[in-house]
Parts: sequence; C-alpha cells; structure tokens
Amino acid sequence: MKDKAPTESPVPASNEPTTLARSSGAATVRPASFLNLPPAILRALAFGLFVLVLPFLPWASTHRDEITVIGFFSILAVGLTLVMGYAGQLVLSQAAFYGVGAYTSGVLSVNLKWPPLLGIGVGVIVAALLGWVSARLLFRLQGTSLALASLGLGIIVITVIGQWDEVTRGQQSLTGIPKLDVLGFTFKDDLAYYYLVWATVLTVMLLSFNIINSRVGRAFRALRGSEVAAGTLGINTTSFKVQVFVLAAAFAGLAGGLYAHYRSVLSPGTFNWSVSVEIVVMVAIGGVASIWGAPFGAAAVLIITPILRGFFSGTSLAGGGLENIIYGLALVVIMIFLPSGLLSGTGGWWPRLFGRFRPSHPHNLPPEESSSEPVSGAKQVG
Amino acid sequence: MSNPLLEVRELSKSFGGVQAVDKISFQALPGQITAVIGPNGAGKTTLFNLITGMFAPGAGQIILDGRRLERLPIYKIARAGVARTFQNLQVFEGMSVVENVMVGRHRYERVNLLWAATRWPGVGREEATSRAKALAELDFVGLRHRADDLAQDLPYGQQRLLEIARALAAEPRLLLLDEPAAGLGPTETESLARLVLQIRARGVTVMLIEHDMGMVMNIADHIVVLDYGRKLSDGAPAAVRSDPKVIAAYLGEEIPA
Amino acid sequence: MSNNLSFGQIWQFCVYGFNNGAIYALVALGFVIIFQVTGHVNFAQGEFVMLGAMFTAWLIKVPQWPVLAAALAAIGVTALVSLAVERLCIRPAEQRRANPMTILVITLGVGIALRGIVLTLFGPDPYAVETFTRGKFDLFGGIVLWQNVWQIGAAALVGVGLWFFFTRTLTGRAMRACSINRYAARLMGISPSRMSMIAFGLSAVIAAVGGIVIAPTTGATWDMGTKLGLLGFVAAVLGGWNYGGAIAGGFVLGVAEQLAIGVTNSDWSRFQDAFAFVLLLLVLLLRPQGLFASRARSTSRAGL
Repeated sequence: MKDKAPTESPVPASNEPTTLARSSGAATVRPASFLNLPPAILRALAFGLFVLVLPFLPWASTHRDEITVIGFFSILAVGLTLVMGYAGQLVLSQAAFYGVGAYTSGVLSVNLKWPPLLGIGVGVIVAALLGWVSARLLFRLQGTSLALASLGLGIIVITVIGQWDEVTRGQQSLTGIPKLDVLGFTFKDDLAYYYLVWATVLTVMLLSFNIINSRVGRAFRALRGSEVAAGTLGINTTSFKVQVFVLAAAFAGLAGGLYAHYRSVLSPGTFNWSVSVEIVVMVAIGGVASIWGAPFGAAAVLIITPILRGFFSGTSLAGGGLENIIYGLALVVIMIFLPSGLLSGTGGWWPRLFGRFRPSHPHNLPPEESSSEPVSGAKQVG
Repeated sequence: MSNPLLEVRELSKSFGGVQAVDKISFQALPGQITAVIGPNGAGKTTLFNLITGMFAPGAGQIILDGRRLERLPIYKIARAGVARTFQNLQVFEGMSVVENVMVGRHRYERVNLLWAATRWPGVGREEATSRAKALAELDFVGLRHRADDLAQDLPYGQQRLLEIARALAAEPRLLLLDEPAAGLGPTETESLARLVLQIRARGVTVMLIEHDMGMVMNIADHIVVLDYGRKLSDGAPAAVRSDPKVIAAYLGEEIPA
Repeated sequence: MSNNLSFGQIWQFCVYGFNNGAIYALVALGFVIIFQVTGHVNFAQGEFVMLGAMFTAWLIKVPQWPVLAAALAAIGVTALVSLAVERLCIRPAEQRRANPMTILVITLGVGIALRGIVLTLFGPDPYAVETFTRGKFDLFGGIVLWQNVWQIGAAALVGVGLWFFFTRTLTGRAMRACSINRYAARLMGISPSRMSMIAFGLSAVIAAVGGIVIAPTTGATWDMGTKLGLLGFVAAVLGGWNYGGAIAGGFVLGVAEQLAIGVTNSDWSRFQDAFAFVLLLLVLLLRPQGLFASRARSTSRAGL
C-alpha cells in the first residue's frame, strides 16, 4: 500500500494511506483562516498604521484630497480585482456603478432631502440591483463578449445621467449635495473624510479577504482556473459569476455614495466609460489577483498621470496621448509577461516585492494534446 | 445482476457534419469498472463530455439510476453524483492542492457570500470539516504531503492524482477517469491501477478511458469499444479481446501504448 | 420631430439607417472573422476603423495624395498594424496559455495605445475628408447622397468578396475548417497560427475600408473608433456571430437606431447614444443566441 501513489518524488514515510479509514487525517486539521492569519494581520496592521499617519507626512499633508480620491478608486479596484483576478471576467462597467451610487445618493439628498447616510445605503442597493439585472442579461453572452456588453451598459448609464436633466441636472452638474453626517457628526473637513474613506477601503478589503478564503472564494477562483472543471464539481458557474458582479457593483456604489457627499458636486464626465478602463489599468498594475495590489495600482495611476501631464506640457504628448500609450502598453506588457502574477490567486506581483516571493513555474503540461476529441477546440471557442 | 447505475441509449452528437458519437448504447453496472477504449478520434472523450453535460447531445438518453441527465446543466449532473477527471488537466491554478480538493466539497457546503464576507461563526467550522475531508482524500491518493503547495507546482503525474482526489471529494456515485495513465511511467501506471481498484472498493462506479491495454485488461470488469463514433463491441475483457471485429479494426493493427 | 411620420419620412430614416448600418456591418464582419477563427473578441476592432480613416485623411491633407492612393496605403498600413498586433501581442500570450480574459485585456490595451499614438501623431482635431462623389439623388422619395452609395457599396462589395473567399478559395475554406474544429483542421495540415494571422489581417482590411468610406461623412478623429467598435460588436451579437448575420445585424441595427430617433420625441431622442445598447439588452433578454444565429453553431457551443 505504501508506494501506491505514483509520485515522481519519493513518498515520505509518514504517508500511510488507509483506504477506507478516511477520517485519519482529521486530527491535524486546523481551519484555513487560522493558518493565514498571522502574516495577514501583521500586514493589515502595518497598512492601517500607514493610513493613520499618512495625512501628516510631508508630501501627503498637502495632498489629502488626492489621497482621498485614491481611496475611492481603491474601493473600485478591489471590486474589479474580485471580478477579474478571482472570477476571471473582464468587466467595464465599474465607473457606471460608481456613478449610479453617486447620483442615487446625490439626487435623493438634494431633490428629496434624504439624509446622506440613507442615500448612500440606497445607492449601494440600487447599484447592486442594477448589477444583478445586468449580470443576468450579460452572462447570456459567451465568455469574452461580456466585457464589451458591460461597456455598453456603462454607456447607457452615462447617457441617462448626462441627459436626464430633470433629475440629474445633466451636463450642468448636480450641486449642493450636503456633507455626510452620522449621528450628529458631520464629515466636514478633509481629514475626517480621509479617515472615513480609508476606513471603508480597509473594511472592503477585509470583507474581500474573508470571501476569497471561503467556499465562495474557492468557487470564484475555480471559475477562473477552469470554468468547465468548476461546473463538473457542482458549482453553478453562472450564479457565482453573477454574485461577484453584484458584489463589485455594490462596492462601486458605496464608493460613489461616499464620493457624492465628499465633493458635493457631481458631473457626468466623472463616470465616463474611460474611467472604467482606467480602473482596469489600476487593477493590472496592482496585480490582477491581488487585493493588496488594488490600492497600490490606484495610487500609481493617480499619482503618475498628473506628473506625466506636467512633464510633457506644451508638447504634442500632453494632450492625453502619452497616458493612453503608456496605459495601453502597460496593459499589454503586464498581461503577456507577468502571467505568474496574473494566474496566481495567492497574490500579484506587488506583494512579491514585499517578501512573499514565489518563483513562477512553467506549466507542467506536455506541449501537445494527445487526443483528437473536440473538447480542447470547443473550449477555446466557448 | 443488479440494475445499471448508468444507462446510455442511442446517444449521438455531431460537430459541423462530423458524427463524433453515433447512436452509442451501453450500461455501466454499479460497483464495476467500465473501460472505454478505441483509437484516437473514436469519440471517447466526447462521450464523457456528453455524460457530464459539457455538450448537449444531438439525440439519445443518459440515465443515471433512473434519472435523465441529458438536458441538465453541468453542475446539476455533478450534484446527481457524477464526477470526472480531464485528459488535458484542469487543476485550478493559483490555488493550493488542498484548496483544489476542497472545491470538490462545494456541494456539501452551505456558506454563502454574506456569511463568508462577515466570517459568521459557522464559517470556520464548515471550513474545518471540508479541509479534513479534503486532506483525507489527499491521503487516499497519496498527496497529503503536498497539501499546501500550489497545484500548478505539482509534477504532471501528481496533478492527475490531484484531479482524482478532487473528484472523489465530491463523493460521486459515478467517477469518469479520462486517460488517467497518460504520460505516466510503468510503475506509476501500476500504482494508478491499484488506486482505481481501491476506488472501486469504496463502492464508487468507475468509467475509464485508457490507451494502456495491459491496465485495461487487468482492472476492467467491462469494456466498451468505440471506433469512428460507433460502438464496435461491448462485454467482458476476455470476450472483447477475442471479438473478431475488435481485432480487425483496432487490436489487429497496432496496440497504442 | 413629430410623432406622426409620413411614409416618406420613415423611408428617409431607413436610408440614413442603411448608411450607418453598412459601417456597423463592416465592423461586425471584422469581429466575426477573428472570433470564428481564433475564438478571441478583439477589443481594438473599432480602432482599426479609426486607423483607416485617419491615415487616409492625413495622406490626403498633408502630403496631398490622391484619394485612391491614400485609401490603398491606409488599408495596407492598417493591415500591417493588425498583423504586428497579432504577432507581438496575441501570439506571445497564447503561447503562455493566457486565458480568454487576459487576451481580451491585451486587445483593450492595444486599442488604448493605438488611440494614444494617433492622438500624439495627428493631434486632437478632426480631419475633414471631401466626399468621393458629390451630390445626391432621389430614391423613392428619400434623399440619398452619392457618398452613401460608397458606404453601402463598400459593405456589399466586402460581403460578396468574403463569400467568394470563404467558399471558393482554399485559404478561405481552411479558415472555415479552422473555425469548426481547430484540432481537426491542424490534423489536415492547416496551420492555426497562419489562419490567425490571415484573420487579423483580413479583419483589419475590412475595418479600414469602413473607416475610409465613413470619413467624408463624419470626419476622421482619434477617438472615433470606440463607439463604432461597440456598435459593430452589437451588430455581431445581433447577428449571432456568423458572417451573414453580421451583415444583417449591422443593417438592422443601423435602421433600428435611426427609426428610434425618428419616431421618438425629443424627450426620448436625447438618449439616442444608448439606443443600440438597449437593443442589445433586449436581444439578450428575448433571443440570446442572436437574431440570425445558425442553429448548428449555437447548439455546439451550448453548455460551454
């Protein structure tokens, strides 16, 4: 019995498989979360501490607004990371759900005088509902078509926001949105709002980590690894794709609601489809399958863009051309040459820089499939 | 004998005019190992893809213990008790070995998105149970020592075992193994054969696509021979081996390694 | 616009619709060719339309080339760009066994980079292109510009050319075999890699033709591609991702869009940018396999 495992490395002596006494392994079992906690908690504490002191550091103390905006985009990017990095779907409607959350809350508090907190809550629900309805429709499309269709959804939303003057004030911008107040405390100054937004970022990241390390997260990751294999293990793939889509929409709606009561002014251009593409760039730079990477990616894009613009001002590269070239090429290069970071659910390439380095491994498959059955061909199509 | 666990009736499927599976009928009896053999392109993997719902059949019926499967979506067929491995491996990259096997426990777990996000008290308990079951299956196939490695870091042969453990974790009634010995050396193939016999001993009905005729003849209780999408022969190993049609069309020319 | 349209007005909207539909059909054909042969959706498809239009406009305006020479050169350059994209961006990713989403993001990146390059080279202002043939004529009470004949004619010509290519030439048949079963095609000595290159080249040529014939009507700008790409994609979905369907889908989309603008009052027609996508959602809701899906293909993909 001992050598029945056809392993290529020597089988350790401890390996005593007893065919039917399968409970024997249970003694040493610990819950997955327990194993993962210590380094994760350390990292979370370090990050939390960094967020806490950041507003008082030299550069940051004069750029609190920019850092708060990075927070909004971090929430958007965490949502998209779940969709892209864990469930393997490219979705280009993140900015639309951001806009839905923002305008729902903004319109309710301006036109109907609802309290901001309630407005934000309703905004999250509306974004999630819209996400659910559109996901049910969009997932009827075969695989990759979803991305373009979700971009179409984004255009519907931005058109409605931009043209429905009676409600959204359209191109004239929705103004006079009240500041957020919770139980009598009003988030008036930059610092208070900074902490609110980044506390939300941390919460959203925590929820995401919890999901990833659970049955649901395993289903997401299985979906990305092999949708067919996931199905043959009893995973309702459509349902989980819809769930992750709705989750990302809800996160985006939350970011939007917070944004509305931060800026007090909303205009449609903020939620244009090109913003969705920008979020994809953030997620790619942060490492597609890395929740930690999301805030880094958001920071990288939002800090580099104005620097580039300033650097090339006055040349033909300043008109946005250079950003487009750099972001476009970054997407291409990252997606081609960092497949290990992208194919790994345990982290992107950012975390690797911080010590969790794992060499990338070539695939162990033989170069050619040996069968002529149409499964491989059909899979590429579907 | 008992009633068949799986009954396939007049099953057909064509791709762009090519009849990949043509009116195939056979039965797989419970607790037996049924091997499906035939040259490349005979329709073996297509047959498995039809049984597991990856393709919708053009015509015919697939009946598992009295229940019609052919119109069910993939995941419902899985929940009816059918699990499989893949000839072109489909391990979940980016997940650890034990996590891969835990995916097999999916249909026995209950945690949903909101529970998971908030780490509701029951979540940890369910995780522990699933992990224990998954580790037990890894023990069964002899991969316990690699539980926390990334699945794609395993050598080829071990990825095959991982797929078997993952399928077994779903506690299937019918397990379909698609060329489990492909790419394995002689000793590995031998231990794989023993593993398949142990799976049968657990009461799991096995269907097996295999090119290694030695292994097939040794462990199969029943053999279905396909050629150009049609069933050529069907019976006990000894009967199939001496079937003149099989010898003429398949064994007589070349015996695939 | 009033709610009560005469037949003549409806016909006029149909003419506009056919006109736009021709371009949508050309873009959709480009999507379908690449999808059928390689299984990828090419996000940069609309940008190839833009390249065709921009190169032509620039060659006519700056070095003052004759229209025909400029158009041919623009088609050639666009095709070369597309081949380079296939070799430098798609192929390496495929060799690394990238999943479909990864390849999609790569084509998205290619599209963004192409926009950036054109914006940098040619600037943000639109280039006007003179109509190839001036004037207009009356067709059953609707006014048709001669330029519209070029657009619709280009779509018709490309459609006939493709039909000839796919049914009468060896390469075309090999490409169709490739789209039915890539493995079997390889067994028969067809190289999927070569077919993929041809597909990218061909779809870029078709896209460039679309860009060239639309440039006199809309002008050529660096950002014209995305919207046309999306509308072409909608047409491909309406058509069920096959060649005939793509053409039909393009014309249906063009006419439906114009009629929707025509019959609605200004309360609704201000949302016209969203019409095509609402139509897409409606089709997905009512007939997800597309309006003109061929049965054989749609069933063989069921369940995957």
